[in-house]
Amino acid sequence: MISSRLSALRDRDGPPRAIDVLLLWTLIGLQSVGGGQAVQFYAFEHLVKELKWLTYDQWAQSWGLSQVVPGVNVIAVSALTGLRVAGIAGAAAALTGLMAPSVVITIVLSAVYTHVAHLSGVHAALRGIFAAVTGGAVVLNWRVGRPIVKAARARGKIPLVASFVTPAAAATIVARGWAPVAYVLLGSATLIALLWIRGPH
Amino acid sequence: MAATLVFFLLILKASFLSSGGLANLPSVHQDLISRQWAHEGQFVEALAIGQLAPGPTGLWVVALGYLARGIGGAALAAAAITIPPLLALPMDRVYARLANRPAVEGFLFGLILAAAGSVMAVLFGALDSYGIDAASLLILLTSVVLLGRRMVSRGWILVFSAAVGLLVYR
Repeated sequence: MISSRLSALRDRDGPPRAIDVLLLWTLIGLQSVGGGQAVQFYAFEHLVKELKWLTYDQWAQSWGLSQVVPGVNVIAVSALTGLRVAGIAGAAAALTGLMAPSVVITIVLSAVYTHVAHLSGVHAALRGIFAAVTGGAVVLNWRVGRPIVKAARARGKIPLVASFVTPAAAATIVARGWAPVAYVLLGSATLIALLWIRGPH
Repeated sequence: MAATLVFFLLILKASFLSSGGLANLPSVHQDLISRQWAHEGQFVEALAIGQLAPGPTGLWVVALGYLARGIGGAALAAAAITIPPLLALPMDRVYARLANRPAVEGFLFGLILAAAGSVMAVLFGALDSYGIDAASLLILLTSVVLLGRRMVSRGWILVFSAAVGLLVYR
């Protein structure tokens, strides 16, 4: 069904409209089990490779910007690519397509869960999945953190040490509840920014 | 009513200070647990439900909103995680000039590093609240190896981890 919808989008004449963007991002969102990386994969496949609504450079620019804005990266990617393809209506369409069906499904799953939570097997299964979520976070943080440590090493010993100390210190402070998380995050960000300004560029 | 607004603002604050779908977890966890608006088990459940649903990982907050405050909580949580990334739209024009400033890069890197550490602290804390046992370590290490080497899709890891959970914890 998804491939037939996609070929319908491909065979259309003229520039993509907001409604096409809505349809495409709905397909991307529903295809993506496994979070942001899956969304990123399908969005690139469809937007750049198959439909050619965006050039690689436009995609890379959207992706780069999404990394520096706060919050969920793929939400920013959907809005930015929608904007590039079909203006502000395209941004709204992409966002709606990505979020609306997935939010509804999340709410339905949560509602179903609250009705069956008393069954012993249900919570047991979720406990298992939660352990996998923790494993997934280890991998994700490793992938996100490694290039930062590399960049820190290129800037010298102090930035390199700071790139190891910062996550360890933040983990300790948050685990012990010594300070509000917001202060820990902003403090760390300011500290590393200062080190980055001082060091070689 | 006031509590609902505060709930929304707390998630909004956490999301403004995060990069990526899990990075708002430490702040949301600290704020909601300290107010007794959610308990540790609900975080475990919400993060697991978030994995089962399609779309961004960040939607775990929507599941938490539902478990803690019902359908209204879920809707507010969805709004609170959607607003911060939309800063990308006005920033689109100035980004090219900002991108390569060392201060901007350093600030972002610091935020990511601190979030990585605190996310792991909260996740292991939640795991430990049940007692970290051989089964949870088995699932954790298996998912690290399989995902790290990109050997199977996440769907299979969900099936495997749910099956082990059912066998062991039931």
